[in-house]
Amino acid sequence: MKQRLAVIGNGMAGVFTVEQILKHNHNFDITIFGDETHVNYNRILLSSVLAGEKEMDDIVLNDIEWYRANGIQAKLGLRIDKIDVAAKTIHSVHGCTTAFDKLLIATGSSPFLPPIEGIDKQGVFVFRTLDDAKHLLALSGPGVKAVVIGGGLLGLEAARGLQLQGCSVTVLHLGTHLMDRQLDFTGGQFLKRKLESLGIQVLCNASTTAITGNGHVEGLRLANGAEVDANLIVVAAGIKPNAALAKLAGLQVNKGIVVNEYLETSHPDVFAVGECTEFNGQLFGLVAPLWEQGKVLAATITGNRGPVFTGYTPATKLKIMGADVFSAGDFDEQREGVECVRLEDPALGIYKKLILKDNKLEGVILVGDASDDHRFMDWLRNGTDLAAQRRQLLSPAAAAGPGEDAASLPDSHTVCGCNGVSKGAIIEAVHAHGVCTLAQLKDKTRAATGCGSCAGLCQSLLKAVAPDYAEEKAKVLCECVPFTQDQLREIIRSQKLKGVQEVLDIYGNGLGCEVCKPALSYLVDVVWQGGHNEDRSARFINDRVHANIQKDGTFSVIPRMRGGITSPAELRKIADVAEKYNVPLVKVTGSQRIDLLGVKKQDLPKIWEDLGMRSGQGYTKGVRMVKTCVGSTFCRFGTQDAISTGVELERRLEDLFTPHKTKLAVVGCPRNCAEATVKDIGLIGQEGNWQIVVGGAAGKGVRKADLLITVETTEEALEAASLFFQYYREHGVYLERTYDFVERLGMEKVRRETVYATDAAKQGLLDRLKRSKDRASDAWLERHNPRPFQFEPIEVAPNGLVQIETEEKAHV
Amino acid sequence: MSSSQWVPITAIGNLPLNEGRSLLWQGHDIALFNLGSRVIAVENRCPHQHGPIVDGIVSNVGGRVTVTCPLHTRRICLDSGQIIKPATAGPCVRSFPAKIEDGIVLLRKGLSEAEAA
Repeated sequence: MKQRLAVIGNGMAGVFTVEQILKHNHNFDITIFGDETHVNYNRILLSSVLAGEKEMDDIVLNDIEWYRANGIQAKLGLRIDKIDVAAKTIHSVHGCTTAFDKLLIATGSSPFLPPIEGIDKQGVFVFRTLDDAKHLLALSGPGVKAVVIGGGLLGLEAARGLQLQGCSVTVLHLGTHLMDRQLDFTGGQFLKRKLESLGIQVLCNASTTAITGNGHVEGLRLANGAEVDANLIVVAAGIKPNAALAKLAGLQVNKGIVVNEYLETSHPDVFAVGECTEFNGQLFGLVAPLWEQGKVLAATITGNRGPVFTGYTPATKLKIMGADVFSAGDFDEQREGVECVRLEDPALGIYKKLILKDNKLEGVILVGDASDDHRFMDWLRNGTDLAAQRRQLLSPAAAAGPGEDAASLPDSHTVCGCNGVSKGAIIEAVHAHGVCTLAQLKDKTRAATGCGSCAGLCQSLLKAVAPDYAEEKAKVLCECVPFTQDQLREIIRSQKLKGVQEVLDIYGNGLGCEVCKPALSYLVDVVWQGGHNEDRSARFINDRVHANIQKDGTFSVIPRMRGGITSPAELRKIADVAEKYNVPLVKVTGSQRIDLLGVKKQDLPKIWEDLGMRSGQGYTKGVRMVKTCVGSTFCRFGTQDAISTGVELERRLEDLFTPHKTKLAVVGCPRNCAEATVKDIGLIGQEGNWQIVVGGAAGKGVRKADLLITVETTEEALEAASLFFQYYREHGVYLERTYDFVERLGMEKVRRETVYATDAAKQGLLDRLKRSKDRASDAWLERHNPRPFQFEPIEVAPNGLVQIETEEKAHV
Repeated sequence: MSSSQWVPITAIGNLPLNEGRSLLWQGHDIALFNLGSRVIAVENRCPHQHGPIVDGIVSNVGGRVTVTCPLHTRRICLDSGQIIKPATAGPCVRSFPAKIEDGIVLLRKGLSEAEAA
């Protein structure tokens, strides 16, 4: 005979616990009661829904099919108002009675409404449920003055969401500084400045005494007498456990339903989990400890009593783009015997503080840059002895690469903080269940289904350990034209589409946007090897005027200087141009070239003419430069002629477009003076041979280039570089740098399909490169035949430009 | 309003389809966009950080015609003047009456603020 398990509460904690119970050998008929009408969704992501980053459907965790497939009865929109523990029945407000053998209470918490006069007026909302989010979305928009009462985590996320919907937003916070339970005063000040720079007004020490308005809210009055206008108010002043039902039933309740380390309540057949519980005087408002509770409770209730819940280290992350906050542990620096390590950079808006005791981390605050939070969280959880790392506490060595970073983590490391999934659990999912895609991993472990910030790390781990790792199905280019780039290449080729507009008309929405148009421009160019129909309206401004737009709307001009080689005559011309056109800044770039910055758009063609030099493509996704060292020309150590090889390589590839910018270098010996090992393509001369390396980077990340092949002659070296170059052009995703490209495809595949391909395949790559090259030309030659008003503004010349015989003329 | 206040600016053929061109007009820096069936004239200044929206790519956001500022990719609705992605309250881009007649782009002259609104 099966036992009846009733679950009151269809939220994240209750349903997660049921999921854990399903993993055990259980003998339950399960019924879940939810007072919301929705299936279980991810409450943490409601702020993303409000911010317009996610749709409501995106945050569903268990769809109705899941309940069916697992034989679970869902009673939604049904509120339970009485538990009779003696009779073992529960009763709904509609008068339904349900009998149970075991009962699980997961009633969650409710927003705390402070006793403010007028808080019941229309236009005052809380932000707790999907329906709340719907209401706020419907009412927010430009012109709406929104006030959020409460500058905690939820309040700030709500404020940002409302602001992104167009509201002007003010946050009123009772405390001396924002997020005062997670941040110290300085941290709160840094956060306040961040939010203000995002356009959110913040008032601290703001005690609201009344909400004013005739029926509908019109404003708020503060204790200091100030008045604030508002037509929408969100109260986010904290939460309180929903424990009244349990209290009425006679269960032991303090602030929350009291549970022991097995999640048992004061009645042997009644259990509780989540935000409605109280453990050791601790209440819960964050998701991570609830997962722990759920796992323990599932063991207890299925007769596997043993695992215990031990409380948790509070850790908080604020999910506001551009205002990162992470806080964990005890950050009080006044305590006996603690040391405080601190970094403050007001210009960057970065504040970091670590609290240490006996060389162990006890608390951490990060504002403005929370990128290495998992490191601190690990130290905190594991009580790591940091004596040896005291010099690098706040400035870790850069990780060697995403794969290595993931590989070096201990198995106990929590990868997904939202769902409490450890690295060990992910590896187990791979080995025991054959998981090999992120989607399968999400399904199996729930990793990356919370805030999603660990998805990258999960991918790296899968890549490192899953033998059948499969890349996620590639993303579609853009909703304007919903196909992957591979599909689009095929469509463009097979349907013989030569222009961006044709692709958009037939396969898209007809108009496109700034995301898909430049990508399509690239694709038609490379598929037709330059024989496409060029459409400048689909190009970014840089590719319309062949110069790089600057923050003030002026442009920068970088002439080509192959291999970094110039001459007195060329330098003299550059100097003359800089003076003639009052160029505000002349700078030597990191690419061995000279940049003229602050040039007016209308001067561009004249400058090109005066310079008489080629475009250096410093503004586009194309061939930037080939950097060279002096090589055997003058250098005592040079073994190969780096200069002439570099100049020749640049000559062969210049004027072509690539998926992203392409930087190259040639060095004449392994001392690597022109940094060939961190370029997209590098040629490294050695005694008697050349190494060709690809996929290097020295930007946001540093990646040492991988060896493509070693060859004997300079001509072979140039050919190997050309093969990789064209292969990248044909297979790279638009805006994918070579360092991501080679990681995505793997060097084995790249080698197999370029330098070790069949002669016919290699010849095909070289032929297509040559055809493109034959059709390409120096973009700056466009000065001889500029498009109408591309550079000069339109002049309103009544008797000149427009020849029309109308009476208007007299009035002009 | 008599038609005599419409001033010819340039032949529509001088404005490439779905691109902007700049124009100095009565002390304003104007961005003129040729959207095929109509022209739109707006102030050439993104409300966000004053980027030259004339240099932006004409786009489509939820069925509305927008231009994307080249500096920070704010998408501005060419009909309302509002930044709609990311949705932002605050000042709109000012627009100026413009039309095409017999292949000529016309702007209206001497418009007071009240009439503009």
